[in-house]
Amino acid sequence: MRKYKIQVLVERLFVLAGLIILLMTLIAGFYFNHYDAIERQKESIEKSHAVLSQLVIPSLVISDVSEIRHLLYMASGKGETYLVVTKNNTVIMSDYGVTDFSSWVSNLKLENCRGLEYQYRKINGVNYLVDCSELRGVPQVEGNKNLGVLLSFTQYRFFQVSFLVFYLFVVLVLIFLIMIFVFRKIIYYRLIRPLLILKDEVISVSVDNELSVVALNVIADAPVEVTEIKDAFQRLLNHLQLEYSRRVETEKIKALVDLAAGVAHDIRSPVVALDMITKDIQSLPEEQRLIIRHAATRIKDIANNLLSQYRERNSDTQSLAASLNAELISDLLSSLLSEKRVQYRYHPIQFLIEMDENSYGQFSFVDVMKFNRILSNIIDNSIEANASSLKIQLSKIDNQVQSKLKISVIDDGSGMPESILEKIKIGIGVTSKINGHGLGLIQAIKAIESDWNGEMKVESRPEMGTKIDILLPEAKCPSWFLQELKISSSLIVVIVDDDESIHQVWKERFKKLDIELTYVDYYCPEDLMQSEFSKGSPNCIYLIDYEFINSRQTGFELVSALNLSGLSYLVTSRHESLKLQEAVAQLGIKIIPKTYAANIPIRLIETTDKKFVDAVFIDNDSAIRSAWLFRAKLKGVSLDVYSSVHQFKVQMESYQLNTLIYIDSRLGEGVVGEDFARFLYDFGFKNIILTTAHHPDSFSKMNWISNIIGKEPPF
Amino acid sequence: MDFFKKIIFILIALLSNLAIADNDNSIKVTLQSSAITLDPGGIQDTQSILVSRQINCQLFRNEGATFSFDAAESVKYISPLKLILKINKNAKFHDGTSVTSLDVLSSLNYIKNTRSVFTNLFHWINKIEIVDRNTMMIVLKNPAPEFLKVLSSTNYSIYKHTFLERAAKNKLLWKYPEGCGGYRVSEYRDHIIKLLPISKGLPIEFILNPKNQITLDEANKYDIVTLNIIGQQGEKLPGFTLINTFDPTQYYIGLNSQSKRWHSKTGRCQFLSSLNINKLASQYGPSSIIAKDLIPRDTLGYSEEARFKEKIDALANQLPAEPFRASGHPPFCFSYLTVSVQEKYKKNYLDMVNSVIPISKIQPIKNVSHFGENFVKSGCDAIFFGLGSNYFDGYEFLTVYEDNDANFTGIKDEFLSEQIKKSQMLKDASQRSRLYRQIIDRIASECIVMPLLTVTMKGIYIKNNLIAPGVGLVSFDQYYLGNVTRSTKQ
Repeated sequence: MRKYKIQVLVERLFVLAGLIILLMTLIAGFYFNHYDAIERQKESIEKSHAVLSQLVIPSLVISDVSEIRHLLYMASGKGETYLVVTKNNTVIMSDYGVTDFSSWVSNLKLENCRGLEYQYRKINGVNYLVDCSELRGVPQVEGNKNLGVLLSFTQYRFFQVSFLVFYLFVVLVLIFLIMIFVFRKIIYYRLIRPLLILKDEVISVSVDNELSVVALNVIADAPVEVTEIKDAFQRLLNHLQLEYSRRVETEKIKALVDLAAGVAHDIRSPVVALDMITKDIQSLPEEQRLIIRHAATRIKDIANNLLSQYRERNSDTQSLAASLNAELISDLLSSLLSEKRVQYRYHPIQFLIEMDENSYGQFSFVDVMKFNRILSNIIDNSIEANASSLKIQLSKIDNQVQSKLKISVIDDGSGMPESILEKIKIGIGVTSKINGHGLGLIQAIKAIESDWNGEMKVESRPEMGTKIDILLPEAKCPSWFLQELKISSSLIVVIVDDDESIHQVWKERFKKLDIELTYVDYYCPEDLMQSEFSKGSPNCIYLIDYEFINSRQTGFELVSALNLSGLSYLVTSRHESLKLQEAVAQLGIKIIPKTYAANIPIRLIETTDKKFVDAVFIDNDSAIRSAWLFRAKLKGVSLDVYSSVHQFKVQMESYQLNTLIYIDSRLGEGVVGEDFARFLYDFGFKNIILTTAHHPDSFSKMNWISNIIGKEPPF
Repeated sequence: MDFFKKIIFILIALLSNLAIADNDNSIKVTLQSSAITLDPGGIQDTQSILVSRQINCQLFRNEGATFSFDAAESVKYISPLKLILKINKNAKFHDGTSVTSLDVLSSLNYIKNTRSVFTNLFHWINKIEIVDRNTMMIVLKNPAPEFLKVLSSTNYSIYKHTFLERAAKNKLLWKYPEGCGGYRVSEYRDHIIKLLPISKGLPIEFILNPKNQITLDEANKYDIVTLNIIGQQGEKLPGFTLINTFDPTQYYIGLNSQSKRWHSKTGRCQFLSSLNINKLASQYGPSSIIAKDLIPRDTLGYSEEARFKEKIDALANQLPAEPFRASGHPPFCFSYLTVSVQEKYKKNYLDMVNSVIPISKIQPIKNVSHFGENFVKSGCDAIFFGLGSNYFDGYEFLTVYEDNDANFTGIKDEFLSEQIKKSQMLKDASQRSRLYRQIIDRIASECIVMPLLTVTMKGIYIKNNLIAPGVGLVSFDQYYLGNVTRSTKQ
């Protein structure tokens, strides 16, 4: 739709409205003028007849035609003719050259005026208003005898425009034009110009300057609405300027925080390497080893603290509703302890954290904020109890029903008396802040037991110390998290990371397995994309960082682009990002938190004693299994068939991971083939094909399934 | 040489064509059989008036309902009895000289001295003084409201005073008068008079028809036809437009009292009474009516109740019978004005008389100049004549009964003449009208004349390709043909 300027719009509308009013006025004027003209014409004719009759009659009595013609000549005018028809039917008129009327009258053979008073008649194609007056002698003199008739023919036009109307029209047009000119000026100066000034000012204004005072003074006399718009805009601009200033400050802070977070993130990799190395530096003296270990711990704490603060700042963007997500407990404890170390860096207390091998990668459903608050409170209590050392242990307690994670906080502080312990056990809060124990512990117990379905035990002896055990139910490992890195000999390990230290960490980890592995190192995504390994191979595993310096492409995008989801693992400190977790889960990629690169269990899978077959087929229908076996035998394909998931589970570790597995979608008794395929994928089988009687389009996208085919044997 | 011959031949051919074209372009107007006289002295018939109108100018012109300046530039009443007339300096005679006060005065004096009818104007005038070359003062005897109206009638043409002096010695000069109108006479013969325009206008040819009537075929040769047309169905004439103008004309039968037959009033009355007008009227058709009064209908002084014929009948019945048909009388002589009696009606007139008394002798009169006097002297018994009007006043019909050349009665009634003169001194039209009645009654009592028919409207046919502005304003004999143009549209 075409857009107009206000000025053009106002002018056009004004002209249009003016024209319509002018037109309507003229039409109304013409309409009333017409009737008025007719009435006036009739009145004029009536008067003329009356006067002329009085003048004509005396002359007619004495047959003074000369005088009568003179009178008729005087009475007649343009478009108006008077004539007298005597009783002898002699037509007397001033100009006999006008034959129309004389002929018309002669044909009528008039005796009186009957039917001719104010009549519209067409004579020779011209409309006339005909009027007739009977001429009678003076009663006292001529005895009221009929002398003849006086006829008038007045040209009749439907639209009779008098000069007055014409002048009125001209005057109206002039007034209209003057009004347009004047109103245009007024509208321009009082409305359009202020608006244009305001528009120009708004266009030219930036956050750094204000509206021009001079210009604003010009539009000070503008209509109220314009002034209000100006004021509103001024206020909006002020707010924007304030907000902009705040944003600038925030951005500055954020940049600093991002920088710090980046530093913390980047520093983690070398710290991991350093941490790993300090375990093996037996050749150094104990004192130096301690110094190095303390230094590494200190660096790690700084990094953790920075990241913790960064997380808090970004908490707005993270879903708080996800507070009961499965949380990596070891990660939470590590971060918390780092925070406490910083908090109590001038306090003579030693923080230790011990995690057994099984505790890696253990998750539990907790509210992170509350979890940190509880643990923080417990640690604070230990500090207040003048503890010189505080140790946090994390272990896994296997249970037939449900495995649990045990967090033990042990200090050597003043401990708690039995009475207080009893009160705590029965849920009575102690308000004493002298010893630092009380209501906090009770609330912690309530949260752990009620909200998280866990347990909390407090053991304490006065002057000996306190031990608090927190048992949390183990949560199922999230799909994005890699619990165990399976690896077989002769694999090619492709490491893509911009940090050389991570390359070294992985190599150190694999070196301990004492197997022959081939390492390929890349330091940016582009290098991998241009290499021969960009196409992926079952004999390769890819350990890929998420963020790269000097590259816009992330590791996730790299895996997606190269379709390496079945072979790749993202090694990143961004594992806490919910968005990343969802994205990798959809793509079937696993994440290895970078801090655990040194800790993730690596299991060696021996391939030499593994059974090799061309394919495995799992289907609960015996007829189909027989058909597949028959076809396989016919085609010389080695095929193992299983009738159930359970049957295959018993034997699956005996197959090489690159074995091609065909699995039916509906396996009976509610077992869904897609779900078991996911299990197999997570286990390490990467070549899984779903067989189904349904159309492949009826299934949603599943990255762990290579293909979807029919029930017919593919070979 | 051949080349020059060719050029000369072409030039001759072109000039011939020009001459032919010029002739073809002239307006051809029919005239009734009449002795056309352009001398304003004596009496002029309507044919002579029409031709004179084109040649002469006047101080004022009658425009029917009003009058306009012609040679005069202005007129101003400085008192009820004094008028100052200014003559237009642009008014020129045919020789290019200006019209002067002396010319006007000479012309008026000539008319006064030579004309015995329409003398009312001179009765009103006490004296005329020349103020300067272009200004003159007219002093009236009494206030005369009709003065300008009469002066604007066709009877007061202006001629160069030197021409009048020469014409007094040689009457033939009146065939080519030196007037101040838009035309001059280029050719004057008995049957045709040709006029050429002085500055603008089409040439005019007045063609006199001795039969006073033409056929339908002949009509197409003319541009303006005023004659009766033989074989015409109704009033329409193909290719022509009929213009009916108000031009009241009345036809009379007059008796010569000097004739032995009419020495006795009784015989005159019985003769007139015995005439049957109805048959004559029926021949004229609807355009005429039987006259009821001595002056025609729609003329000042006319009275519907006049019943002129009934009065004569009454007189005839009152008096003892006298044998006007007695054998002792000379053979009955009948005279008529050719300009008044059209050929196709002549027989009807004669039949009307023959039914009463056999006509032995017919004596047509072409020259109306002194027709009354001549008729009386001729000793003829009766005369048919018609009278028209310029300004529709009864006086124009009564002036013939004054002691003048038009008086056909042979009666010199001084009282009647005085009465007629007196009527013109009356300012009030009603009073004048009443006096006309008395005069008419006196005339009626003499059984010397009887009105026969009245024709109020006069029709003329104008060719459709002619544009004649203002033709309906005045009677045709007063119309100026210089206004006529020929349309190029076919």
